[in-house]
Amino acid sequence: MADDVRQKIVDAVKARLQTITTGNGYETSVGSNVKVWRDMTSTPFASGDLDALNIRDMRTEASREGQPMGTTQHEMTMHIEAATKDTTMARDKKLRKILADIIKAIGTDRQWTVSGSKLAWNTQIESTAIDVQHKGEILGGCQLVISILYRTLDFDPYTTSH
Amino acid sequence: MSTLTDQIATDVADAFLNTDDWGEAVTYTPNGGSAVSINVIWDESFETISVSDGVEIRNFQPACFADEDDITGDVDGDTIVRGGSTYYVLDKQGEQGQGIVILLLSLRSIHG
Repeated sequence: MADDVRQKIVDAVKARLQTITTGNGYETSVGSNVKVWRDMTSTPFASGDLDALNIRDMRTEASREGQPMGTTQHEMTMHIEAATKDTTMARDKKLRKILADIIKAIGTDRQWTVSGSKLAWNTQIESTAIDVQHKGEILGGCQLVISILYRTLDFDPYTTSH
Repeated sequence: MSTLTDQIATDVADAFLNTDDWGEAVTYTPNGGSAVSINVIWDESFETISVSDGVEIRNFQPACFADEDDITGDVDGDTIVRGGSTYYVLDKQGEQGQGIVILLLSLRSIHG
């Protein structure tokens, strides 16, 4: 069964984030535990799960204005959230490193090329945020919001258009 | 005739924190002071902590109830050792004269 372009992009983002390990030259290994749409209300991360990432493709704005005939542009807003537990590194510093690693990973290919085919034509960083809570342990979280711009044929979410 | 405050203090020491009842002995070290054994009631609840928009972590929150006469002054830098683990005192809650104070604890120092 074929996947639509949105699904392919989410899969590509997950696969890219999974490459974030110190063995691959990053500062953290937050890519070792990547989830897609983990429900934080009913199944929040447990302390033992950390470090971890969660991906959520929140919404997509569609537009045909200014686009090539017969195509629709989609602007997907994706939230990438990380949770970490302090061990040896200062918690705020680790959160900044995680954010930097995510941005670096995204920047390796902002068009999300899979099997030689570009799924999107650009990716933009919209915002970042970090927070630290000190309860039983020191816990930290950060969020990166990105926009992924891609085109499909009109009313054909399965076919990319460039 | 003893005052109510005296009676509360007696109940705290003889009943609530008695190791034959709910209490247990831990090692308390005030910042810059010497370690002493005190009796506390241990509490360890789980709660969900929001650390960023959309990021929730389920984690434990250790705390203990202690005799207010054992915990005097600022608790910043104080530690409690229980079962081989060292806990750092984050905060002291409760008003003077009520007999018992609550110590909020963490495995990590606020200065770490």
